Amino acid sequence: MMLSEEKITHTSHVLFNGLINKGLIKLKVEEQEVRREIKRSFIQALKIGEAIDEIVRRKLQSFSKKIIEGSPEWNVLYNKFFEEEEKKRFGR
Amino acid sequence: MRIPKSWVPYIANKIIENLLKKDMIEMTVPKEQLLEEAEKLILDELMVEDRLNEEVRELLKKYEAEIERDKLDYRKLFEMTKQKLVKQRNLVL
Repeated sequence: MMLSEEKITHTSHVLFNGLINKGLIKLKVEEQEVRREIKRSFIQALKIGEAIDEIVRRKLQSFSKKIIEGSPEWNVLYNKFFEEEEKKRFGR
Repeated sequence: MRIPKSWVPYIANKIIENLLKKDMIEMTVPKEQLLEEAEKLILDELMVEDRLNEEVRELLKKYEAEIERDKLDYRKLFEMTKQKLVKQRNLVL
């Protein structure tokens, strides 16, 4: 995982507290359940992100013309392919 | 940031969608606003280390001459300063 367990837990807390303190959501179940679900979904999303990252990197590596990772061209293509994969999965 | 910024919108989306699907929360604002705020909260937290790195770079700029003169190890100084601030502020990186 690209983020540590501690960072995922902390970010989940920050998100939960932010949503509650800003009055954006009301809880329909116990606070602990919501906190757990946020963390679980966070980990799930990171895994999908990693899977997309792998697909995109493989696509870039398959080009006959080698593109240096981190170069402007690489970044543009990475973001383009990433968005395409994202759309395929989430329709956004 | 340890993950690409482009991941943040769907991390936020996934979390909110799952909470709604499981009927755990009720939105008090329109969904677009809720997603936008969730993205902001996540992004802000994930950028803590970037902001800290920038701060340390700025701090060390003031000592550029001494670092050069005494041939100090910049990398080491950077890490030490960073760790000191992490402890002082109880940050999670």
